[in-house]
Amino acid sequence: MLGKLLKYDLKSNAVIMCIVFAAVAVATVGEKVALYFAHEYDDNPYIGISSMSMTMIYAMILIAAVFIAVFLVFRRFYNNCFGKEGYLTFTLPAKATHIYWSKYISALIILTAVAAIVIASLFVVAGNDARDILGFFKDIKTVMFDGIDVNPVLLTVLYILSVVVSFLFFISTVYCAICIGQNFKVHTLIASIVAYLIISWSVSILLSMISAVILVVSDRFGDTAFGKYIIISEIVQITVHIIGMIAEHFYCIHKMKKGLNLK
Amino acid sequence: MGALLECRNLTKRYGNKRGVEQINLVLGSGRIIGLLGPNGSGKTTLIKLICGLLTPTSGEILINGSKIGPETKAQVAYLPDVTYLDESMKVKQILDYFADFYPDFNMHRAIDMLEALGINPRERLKTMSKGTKEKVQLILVMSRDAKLYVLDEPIGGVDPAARDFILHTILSNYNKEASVIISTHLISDIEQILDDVIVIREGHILEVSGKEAMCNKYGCSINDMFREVFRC
Repeated sequence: MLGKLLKYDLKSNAVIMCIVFAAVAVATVGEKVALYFAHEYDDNPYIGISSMSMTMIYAMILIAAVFIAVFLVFRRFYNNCFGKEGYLTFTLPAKATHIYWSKYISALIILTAVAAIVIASLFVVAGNDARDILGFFKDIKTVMFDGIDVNPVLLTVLYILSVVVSFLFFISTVYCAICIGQNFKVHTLIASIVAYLIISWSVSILLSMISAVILVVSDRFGDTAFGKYIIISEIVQITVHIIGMIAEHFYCIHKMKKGLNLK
Repeated sequence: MGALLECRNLTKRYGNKRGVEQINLVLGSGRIIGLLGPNGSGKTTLIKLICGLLTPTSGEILINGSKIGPETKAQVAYLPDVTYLDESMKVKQILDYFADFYPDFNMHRAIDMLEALGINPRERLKTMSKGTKEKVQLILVMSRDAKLYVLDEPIGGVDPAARDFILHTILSNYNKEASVIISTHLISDIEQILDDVIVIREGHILEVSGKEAMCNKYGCSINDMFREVFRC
């Protein structure tokens, strides 16, 4: 059943996402061509202005692609579960758990796809300069890791894990906020936005407080403990996000099982 | 044979507000049942509880002996009183969707009904009139060989000709071994097709009996009885 639900969740956004991906592809080619001409005819002001305009359009298309994907994913979740379409969704012979996970996994797939497309586009546009981008990250790594006593592989893995978990946490927080908004008879959208802000800020404040405590403690052990502070901070952040995510999943599934408030 | 639908001490409250209160109800198979009551009497709450869209505050509901869940949802065909389909979808896509999720969905029957009404399966719902969308929804529900059909105001807000079509569609397509619960205010339009009547007021079941027995008891039609009982 989860497979069927997932199939329809992905299909429902497929057409718009294909258009978005096509727009990014066209913009990438346009930007690449514009950069080529700007490089070849760098003394021509008209080509320079055209190239700059194209770069602005390209940047706007990339930003729009991300926003459209985010909007579609969360609108789909709301309409499908708490809008009128909920009458169909929750009378399907499917468990609420499956319905929730199909929405979550489809969001993950769509948002990952759009992020991958945007990053790929940036690398295509950068071309040979992509090496400079990689070099830039290497420089950051050198600056960050050489001054502190820390295993660079471990820290890199933790950073990547932290980004992935934060991304997963973001999706579950938005879903959870939408579910919280359903507890209100009116102004459900405003309630959802407020719920999202409260959850996000609460987690940020909690993480800041924990980091401050760890920093104070590690400071007592001198500079050599700074590397450990960074590692522990990352682990704490990942742990807090995972715990938060699990709580949000449980809340959303509970809401879908027991607390539907269909209009 | 066991009861098709059984409600035991079923209560649903919305905070301090009453939805339904201590409902006890047993319905068998092969019946067309009118669920009658004024606005706010708890008809839609009872229907949503049966379909698993609401969770009871207390009590329980059994459909074919099973508690509400995916198993019972596979046996219940529900027509809500709102247009609930994704309007960006084409009719054919919705048919495929139903066929994919409901093993009892009869695609040929659905296509025959669409053809009879001249509805193009390649048309998107958003381009259709409200009445046509409602007909598509009814076709989807009545194309299932469900054990229990639950129709919430199926003839509300449509013209008399469309009402005739809807009633004809229900009568000629429902699984004869199944039961049909029809909730409506428009009693005179459906009275002739009912076998049983449930009268609900302020969340309580006022009366459950066969249509003939109720007519004999009150000495008038169900429509007249309703007007008398719920006189403002």
